[in-house]
Amino acid sequence: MEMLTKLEELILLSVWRLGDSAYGTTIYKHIQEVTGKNLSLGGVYFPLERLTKKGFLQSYKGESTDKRRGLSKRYYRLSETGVSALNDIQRVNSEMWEGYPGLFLSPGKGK
Amino acid sequence: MGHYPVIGDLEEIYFDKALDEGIIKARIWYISQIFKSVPAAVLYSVNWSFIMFENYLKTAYRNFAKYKMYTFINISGLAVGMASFFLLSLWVQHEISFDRFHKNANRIFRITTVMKKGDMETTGVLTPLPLGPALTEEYPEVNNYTRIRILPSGWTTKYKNKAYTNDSYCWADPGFFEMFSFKFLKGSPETAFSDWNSAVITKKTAEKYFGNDEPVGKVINVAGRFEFKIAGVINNIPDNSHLQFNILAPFKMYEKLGINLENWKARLTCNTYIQIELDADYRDLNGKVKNICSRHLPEIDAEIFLQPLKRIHLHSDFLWDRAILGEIKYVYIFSALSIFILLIACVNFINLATARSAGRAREVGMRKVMGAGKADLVKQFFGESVISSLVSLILAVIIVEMLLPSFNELSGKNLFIDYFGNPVYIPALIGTAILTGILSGIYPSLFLSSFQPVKVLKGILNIGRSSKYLRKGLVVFQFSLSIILIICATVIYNQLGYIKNKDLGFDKDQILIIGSISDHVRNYDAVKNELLEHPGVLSAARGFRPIYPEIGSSTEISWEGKEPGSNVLMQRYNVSFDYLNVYRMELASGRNFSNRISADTVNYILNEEAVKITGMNSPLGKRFSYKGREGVIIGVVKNFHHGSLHNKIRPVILQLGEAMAVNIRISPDNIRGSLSYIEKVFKKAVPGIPFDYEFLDETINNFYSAEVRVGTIFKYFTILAIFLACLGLFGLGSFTAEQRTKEIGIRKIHGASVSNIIILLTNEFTKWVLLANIFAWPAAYFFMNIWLDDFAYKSGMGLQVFLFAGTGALIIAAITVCAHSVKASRTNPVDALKYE
Repeated sequence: MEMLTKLEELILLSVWRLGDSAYGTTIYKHIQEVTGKNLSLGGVYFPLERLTKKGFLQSYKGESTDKRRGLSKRYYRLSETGVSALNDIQRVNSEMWEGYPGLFLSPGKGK
Repeated sequence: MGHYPVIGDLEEIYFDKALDEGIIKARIWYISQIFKSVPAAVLYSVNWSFIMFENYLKTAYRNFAKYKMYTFINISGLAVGMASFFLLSLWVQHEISFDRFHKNANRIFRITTVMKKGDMETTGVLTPLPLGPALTEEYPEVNNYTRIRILPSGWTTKYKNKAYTNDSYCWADPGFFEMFSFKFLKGSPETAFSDWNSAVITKKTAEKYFGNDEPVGKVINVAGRFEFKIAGVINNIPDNSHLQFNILAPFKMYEKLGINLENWKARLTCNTYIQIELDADYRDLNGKVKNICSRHLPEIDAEIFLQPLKRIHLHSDFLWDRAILGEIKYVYIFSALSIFILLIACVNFINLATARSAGRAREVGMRKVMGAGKADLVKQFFGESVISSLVSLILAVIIVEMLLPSFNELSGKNLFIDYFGNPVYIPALIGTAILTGILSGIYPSLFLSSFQPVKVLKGILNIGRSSKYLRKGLVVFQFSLSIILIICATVIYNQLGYIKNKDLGFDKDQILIIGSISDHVRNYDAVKNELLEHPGVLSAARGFRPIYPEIGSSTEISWEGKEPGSNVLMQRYNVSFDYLNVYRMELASGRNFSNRISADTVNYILNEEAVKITGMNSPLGKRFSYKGREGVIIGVVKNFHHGSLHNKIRPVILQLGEAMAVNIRISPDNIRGSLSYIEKVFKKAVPGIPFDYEFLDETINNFYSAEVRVGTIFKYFTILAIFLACLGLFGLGSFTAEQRTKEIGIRKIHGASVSNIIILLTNEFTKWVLLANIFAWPAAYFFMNIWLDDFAYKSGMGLQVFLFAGTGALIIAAITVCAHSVKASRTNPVDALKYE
């Protein structure tokens, strides 16, 4: 299983959640909302392109609007590889997170 | 990938923000985005580069582990090649670096002389005493001078209870300190030679005599006659200086010995160095000063030349030169050798990497299927080869450090890698390694990465084919280099042995020569009788010192039956009547001088060469005259070497005459006893003069010490080069055999026997080696001709040397390949065809 960075993982998840409306702006806004961090657009785009190049995502051209000064949107969707990568991450995560008590955990009493 | 979607998104978000939060905040956001994206991008790529790098390392390591033996051969071969290159480069660099540390190096020149006598020209470095001052006075371009005389050893220096006879003295003028950059630790250049008896010593010498005490002001006793007061201490002389000495004294001191320093015809001569103005052109100046000697000394036909300081060490071939000399010839030879070895090692490396890459085609195919881009593959292969060569570099440096002590002993130098002193070194080392890595990575990376995965996986493509030509060519190239080296090494070895053991025409062993002290002996006969009383002294005679050049020669010669108008030049040596006995020189005909025949004082003995040149058939009894002295030829001596051992034997006349040096043959038993007795006799006869002596065989051996050193170094490195070539062949052979297992399997099924297969595999390599010979022979012949040219007597480059080298290479190649052939031919055909 290829190790993806946390940001890449978030990007893949966003693409899945946003479905047909996953493109630069929406992905960027979504991640900002959930993480609360003030990312830069470029900081999202680089991993996005790389994921596409490595085959986890597929991209296709979208429409253009006046807002975008006539430039077209670029939509992303998960590829099969992307899906299986997410499955892998989920499997690892659930095993790792299994039984984590959250609020009731005190340090030193690991289980 | 278009960047336009990004900009589109930027615009979109900006639009929305402007609506929500106002245009100012939107603008701020827009600009901040641009700034933030840059570091984000950089960090992201860096992060990925690290991950990828780690990935490459892992793959590379796995590869190396899998092919342990090949990796080992490859890396160690390259390491050895690099180590040789470094060692030889250190040697070469040291030789070229002589005398460069002087600040005024570009403006200092040594005066060399050319004297013509008949048709013979003698070049030398000994000049008349007033030459230096005269040049400085008469030519404004010359702004400083110093006379120099060096006595390497022989004078006894005493201080309190310490006495040594091994100090090297150098007499110089005050200009010496202004011209040359020898740093003063105590005292200063201005005060150094303020008195006629002040001396300057090196740090080592100060420690030798005075320990930690203050040297300045102390007085040393020299040769039992002079007292010198230490006026200064200079730093130790670096070993890449052609002038080596440890005590400096003022030249003016010679006046106290009764020598007139302004006498152009004084018996004493010296070296002269001058310094010229910054903007002066030394070639111009040379033209002007050439004939200065003839002006002051009209009866001598001599010209002077200016020899640049930096050329002295490597380009000097003068008589009586006491400078520390090397030869430019050997610099070239070792440079070539070092590059050859490195090339052989690199070719090995490239060959093996290429051959191995053919076997990795499958891996490449799989990687491509997994999505690796061409760039990634190229990076991977380059990375692997660069890593290999960097590892080799580290290994090479370790090897060099381990071998340096032995190499220093072999070469007589004190070399070391100056890691931090010289900023060029470390980058240069790393650069060499990376360059090799890149060169060897080019072929596999470019060639392999352009494969189409499917074809490769199906194994259809015969990768071997076009790489075969490259590999063939490389192997031939390698072996050519090795054969050239074998030939050259053999020729050099033969020549050196020949010269060393050549019959000199006289017996050089057990001969003691007493030199300058003999000049002062008055009652020679009494001294000689006293010497002969000792059982260890077998015979003694005054006469010229063999292999020392004499300047006694003339064309004023005539003999009975000479054709009028013919002009020959002969050299004349003075001997005493028993000289020939001491040296056991053989007579071809006639008799030796006798002290009972008074006529012998004007008679002559000629050597065979002289007789040949006169064309006389029976020279005995014929009249002969040299410079007007009429006499008769009483004997012909067999040719013997005189003057430099590199020169041809010339026509020589022996006559009874004044020659001061005393040549003593002593018995091999109790040499020390004989020596101390002889010393006592001389000291009694001439008190106060230092006793200096030399053993002739030692002097002759020293004459060749440089050549012998070079020869030995060359020998070792040639063996190394051949070893490397074999290593390469060994590695290649195994791959070829492996690749052809299928073919071999099929052949075996069709009935080929083990020996058939061995012959098949060996044949191929044999062809390559034979081809290598064709390239190697002319090249080696060319190089060796140049080297042998310097020797008057050559052992020759017979055809057998070439055949020996060629056959040797063939045998070595055959053995190396045989090992693999045997292994390959033993493979079970079933195993080989398993993958079909």
